[in-house]
Amino acid sequence: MKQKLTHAVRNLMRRHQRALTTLVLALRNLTRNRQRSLTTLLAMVVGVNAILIFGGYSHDITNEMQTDFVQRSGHLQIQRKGYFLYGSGNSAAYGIAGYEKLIAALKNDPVLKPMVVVATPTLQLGGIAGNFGAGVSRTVMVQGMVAQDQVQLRKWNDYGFPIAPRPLPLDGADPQAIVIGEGVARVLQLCAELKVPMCDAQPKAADPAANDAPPDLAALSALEGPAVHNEATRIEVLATNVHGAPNVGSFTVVKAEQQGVKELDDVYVAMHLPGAQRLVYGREAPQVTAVIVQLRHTDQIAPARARIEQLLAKDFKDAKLDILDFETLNPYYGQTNRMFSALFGFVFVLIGAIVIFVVSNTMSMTIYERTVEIGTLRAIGQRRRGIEALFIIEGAVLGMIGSALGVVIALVISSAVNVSGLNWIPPSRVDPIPLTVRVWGEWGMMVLTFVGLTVVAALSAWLPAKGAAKQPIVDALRHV
Amino acid sequence: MFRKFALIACSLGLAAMAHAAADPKALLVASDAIRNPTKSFVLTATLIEYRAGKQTDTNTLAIYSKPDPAGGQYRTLVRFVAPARETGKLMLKNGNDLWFYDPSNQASIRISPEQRLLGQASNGDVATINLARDYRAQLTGEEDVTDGDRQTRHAHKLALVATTPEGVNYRRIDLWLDTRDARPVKAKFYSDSDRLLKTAYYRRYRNELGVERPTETVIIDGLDPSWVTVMRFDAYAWRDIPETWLQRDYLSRFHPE
Repeated sequence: MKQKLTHAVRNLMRRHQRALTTLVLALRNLTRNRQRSLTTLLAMVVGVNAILIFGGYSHDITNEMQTDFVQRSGHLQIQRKGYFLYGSGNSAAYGIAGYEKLIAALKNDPVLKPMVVVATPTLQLGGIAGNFGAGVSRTVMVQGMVAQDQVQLRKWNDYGFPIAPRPLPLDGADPQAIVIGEGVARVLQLCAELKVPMCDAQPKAADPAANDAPPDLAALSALEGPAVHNEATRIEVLATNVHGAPNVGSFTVVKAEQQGVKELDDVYVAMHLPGAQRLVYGREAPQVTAVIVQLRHTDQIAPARARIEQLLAKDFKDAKLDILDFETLNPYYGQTNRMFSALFGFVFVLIGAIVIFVVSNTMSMTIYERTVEIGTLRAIGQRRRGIEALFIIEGAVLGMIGSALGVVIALVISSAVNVSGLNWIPPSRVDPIPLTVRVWGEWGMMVLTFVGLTVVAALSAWLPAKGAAKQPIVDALRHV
Repeated sequence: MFRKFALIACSLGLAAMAHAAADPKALLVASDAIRNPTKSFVLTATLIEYRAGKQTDTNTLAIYSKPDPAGGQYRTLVRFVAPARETGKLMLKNGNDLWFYDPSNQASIRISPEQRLLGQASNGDVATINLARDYRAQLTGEEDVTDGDRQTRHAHKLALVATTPEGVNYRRIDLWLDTRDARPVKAKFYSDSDRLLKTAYYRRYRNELGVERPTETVIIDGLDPSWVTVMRFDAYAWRDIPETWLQRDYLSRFHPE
């Protein structure tokens, strides 16, 4: 038995004798000038680290943005056809009637049940929020939502980030409660009551030359009593109902929440869904503008979407509904991803260029020093191709060792960063989140970097090696 | 004999009383006729706006109005006359459609209902609204009410409810009509959510176009009672208004004679 094994190994070695010899020779040549080899290795290690850590960082940013979007607007949204592109001008015209039936169908479907975490309705409308006691008002974008479902939406954290779900001030608050953006609170002069920062009382520029109102009008106005105003945080929201008539509701602001993006912060109003529906549909059957669906994992979007399309085609054919995923709804996501891909490609090319310079410099010096050796080898019968192969393999071995070391060190560094407790505030977010670099688990990126830089190192040895092999033998032998 | 006489007298008295108990629908129609002329007409309107006790804005408008033959809402073309920076601008109100035209850049734009929630556009229908067709009236009693000149008048109080949600801006209206002549004294306009949106006083009754009409309307905003608009109407005249004037495409070619 033992004999058979030794035979097998010996046969293997005999068949690949040449390759094995070349490998061993390359390794031994690399150790001839240890300092130079080590310096080159170091350059490669640093290069690999730069690529992997930047790549890990940008992956984390992407995943974190995805987590944010999925928490806010789910994976898929079901809307009326055309609402996404044209509905912002007249949301009441794109209402989904019978949405309760649709949500029940989504929740009870056997294929969707294991995938769907939350299915919740929302109503979005444009209106005017006014603090008429202070004589100020502002156009706003009102989101009507079901508070309990929104709390559930915010718990999604498939990538395991060390973050806590954002609290929802509407949850548990009374039906007339609303939450507004800090920009809205500033314009409506509710800064003091809602503790909004960066807010000075804006004096109303009264025209001193203006005439006073005649006393009879002042008296008639006084007959009406003061503007309805029990508590300081009570505001009115005006909207047009589905027939185009004005409608108004009274609400209490429980919190002013910073929304991150200034344009959104200046118009954001969130209220309970029934309140929003009463504004738009009054006493008629309430509708919604979108049904949000959140899945367990992002890669379930394709099968979930296919199943929902089947359901819609079967039971809800007349409703003319569309399914949109979170990437379509948030173009910012795709734009940021593309930007990071471009940056990653740029960094890769940059590092690749540096590796080329370093390795070809090293190989050139080595080749120059071994000119006599090359001449000797060729004199005793080694072909040109053999000389090239010798040096290319040396470069490749250097590349492999350097990349392998770089990957290991990158893993160590990323773990250190992940437990370091550093945090930062990404754009369009308000609170700081932990800084994480995702290298472990990104196998594709690691393999790509390893193979890529090894190839680069091998290639950068090729040109000098070619030059060396072309030299006439006699000149090489005579080289001092 | 005497009994027969008493019976006849009683029944006559009852009949007279029944006649005196007003029919809310008839009252409503009468009040509409007092406010709005029955044929095409023109007038000059002066709008004065007061906010928080100070006068903020004054506009003078030339109004060309044509009633809808089916008894619906008037179609109106409004031309801005003063102040000078607004001269020549036009607004065309056709049911729930409101078009605005600016001659300086030849642009006409439709103003959506969302854009009419605040500002003078929200006051337009309070003055000219035709109630009888779109509202069902109920007489809730008689009471003393303060009118626009802060005098007390004895008035019928009518509770109006919109019969159809399409094309009406106010779901519910409280209307006070003078008991003597069905003159509108005061009106309160409520939204679908039963919030007071506008209060209107009709005053300065003058004889215009053959009827004693209220030539001044004071509109007090329900949400911000310190915002008061006074609309004064003068220079009433019957006028045949061509159909072309009330088309949106004609706005750029409109010329007042």
